[in-house]
Amino acid sequence: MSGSIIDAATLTKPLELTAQVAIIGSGAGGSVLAARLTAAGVSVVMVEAGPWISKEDFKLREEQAYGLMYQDRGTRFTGDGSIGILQGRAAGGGTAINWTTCYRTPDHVLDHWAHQHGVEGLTSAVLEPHFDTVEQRLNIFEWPVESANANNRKLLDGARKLGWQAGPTKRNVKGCVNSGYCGMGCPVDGKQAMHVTYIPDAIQAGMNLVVNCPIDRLVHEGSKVTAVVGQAQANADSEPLGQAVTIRAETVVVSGGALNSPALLLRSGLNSNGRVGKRTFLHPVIGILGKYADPVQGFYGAPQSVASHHFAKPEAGRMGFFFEAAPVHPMLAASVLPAMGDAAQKAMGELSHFSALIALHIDGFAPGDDGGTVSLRPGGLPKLDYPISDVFARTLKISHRKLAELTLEAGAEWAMTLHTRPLQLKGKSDLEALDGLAYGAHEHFLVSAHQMGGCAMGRDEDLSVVDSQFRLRGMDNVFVVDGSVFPTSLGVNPSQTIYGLAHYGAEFVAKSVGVSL
Amino acid sequence: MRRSTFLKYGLAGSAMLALGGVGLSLRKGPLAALPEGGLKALNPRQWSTLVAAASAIIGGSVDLPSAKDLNTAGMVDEILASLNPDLKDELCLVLNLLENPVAGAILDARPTPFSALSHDECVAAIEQWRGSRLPPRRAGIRALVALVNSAYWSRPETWSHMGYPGPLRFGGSQ
Repeated sequence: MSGSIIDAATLTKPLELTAQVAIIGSGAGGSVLAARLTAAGVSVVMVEAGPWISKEDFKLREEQAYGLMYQDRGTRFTGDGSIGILQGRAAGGGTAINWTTCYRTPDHVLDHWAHQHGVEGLTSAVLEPHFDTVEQRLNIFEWPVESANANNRKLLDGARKLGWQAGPTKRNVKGCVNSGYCGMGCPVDGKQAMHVTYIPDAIQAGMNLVVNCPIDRLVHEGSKVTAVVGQAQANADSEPLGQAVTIRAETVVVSGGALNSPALLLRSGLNSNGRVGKRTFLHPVIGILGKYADPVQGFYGAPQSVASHHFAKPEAGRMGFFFEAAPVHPMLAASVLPAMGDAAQKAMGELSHFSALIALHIDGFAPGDDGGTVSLRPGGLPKLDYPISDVFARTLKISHRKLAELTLEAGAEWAMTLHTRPLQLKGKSDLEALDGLAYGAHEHFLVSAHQMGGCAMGRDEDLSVVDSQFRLRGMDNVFVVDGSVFPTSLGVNPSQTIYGLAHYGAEFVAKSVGVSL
Repeated sequence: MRRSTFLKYGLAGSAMLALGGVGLSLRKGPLAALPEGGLKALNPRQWSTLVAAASAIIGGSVDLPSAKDLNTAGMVDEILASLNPDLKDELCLVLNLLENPVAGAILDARPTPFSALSHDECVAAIEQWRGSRLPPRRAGIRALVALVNSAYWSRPETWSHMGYPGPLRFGGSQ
């Protein structure tokens, strides 16, 4: 009994659907959950704000990809405009456009969640079979160093020369041709994203997927949600809304990801303890460009295959951070380069000789580091305010310096910060000049590719949004299953943690409709 | 500073205009020729500001096409049209403030509409915003520069300059 894909944008009359479970969002959380539920015979309807996509849609052109598959067409920012937010909006959610880097949740993170946030039952032993299963389905394995592109090799070489920890990452790919276009949709379905794995599994088992259908609100009576209400919308956010879509289900699961899940709960008035949207984390990213004599061609090859966690452990006065690489495609590079005119033309002329290495900052662990807060814009979209603390600003100074040092050690002729007025460093003797720069909001490039939290899991009913079984506090039939339930960030790329938690969380969702997994 | 403060700042500019800038406010820059097919998001005044800004941001070169050649402003107009109205309005506000001779006079000693400036004066005005001590101005101009740069360098006509051979081909997906 196969289900179907319904494109809400083509509806000519209102649509009403019923199911045992309604899942809102088709990303890493919702898709794994849907596949496990449908395999057990649970009827599921899934809704996705973005379009259905397939490899035939991917033109490997940035201007097309950002418009097709990214939230706000790639122009999402924090409330003050200081941090860009790259987030998926298509079948498969972030997995359609991520760079495939996979890690199991670190043990120390699970310990922190247990001891500091009262999360119960989430141990590495409990999660192990779930990680085993998703690793098998998504073909998660260590990417051989010899297949790393030159951009990632710079990271590895520079770190090793300095005696810093670095090594290959795992990736969820099968038949990867090392094209480098993971962020624009994999042209050969090598990336084992949700739209080529768990979503087809779930549809094969009977799930109906409605695409181009942003959900406006959850209608509730007392402690039960009685209807999920959305309206068809073609991909462009400004196009007129189409037909109404209503889904009635015994259980409703919110899987829209950080920012969108809390925004839906806020629009629905489901914020019983005032904690929805709090503790949103970003792994905020800064970058350093390096210019080499030989071509790097950072636009080709797996975008991320090496990481260094040498500075991941926080120390007095600074947060932890880790290093990875970023693809060097024209639009992405042009949007972060602070230059214009002749300077921009000169810099862009050297694009094929650039490395682009990034530092990701591990937020949410220090006392008082509460991350950002999601509220609603006048039109109902999420607005994230993310203050930059003094500790974070100090950390930014350190991470810039360490990353510049690594870039120069890797053999760069020069390294350059992405400050509004960039600083070019031609050797290690120039590193001291970094002390004279300002760090923080509006001073330099800042972006997030990892959005986490906002519906934090925990034991304290007054401080957490969901309990340790993913159930929304104050409601009987609502769960949240996605990266928004993290009480902190992770210190590693988040997709596999979401896969694993969703696979585990499926047991509680199934139980709510009388099914034992 | 939050964007809401940024918006109030725009409103404050309007108030100043009402109080003492009437003479300046009457100064208008020339309107740029509208794109074929008309404007998608901007009004003609905002369009003229954007055309001047795009030309200043991209600059000139014998080896590269101009912003006008590649219809960079038209691409930005189309991107803005596809955005959520909240986001579009914020970027339109940047153009309004950049153009506004009252704000220019008070903050930059530049009592001339942006679109009436010479190319070099446009570059200087943008640089003043980039170096502004007011975070919302820095954020606003950064967003505008990023939009213009990314629209321009997305075009295949610029790829050879970058040494970018273009997307790889796989079984006719492109």
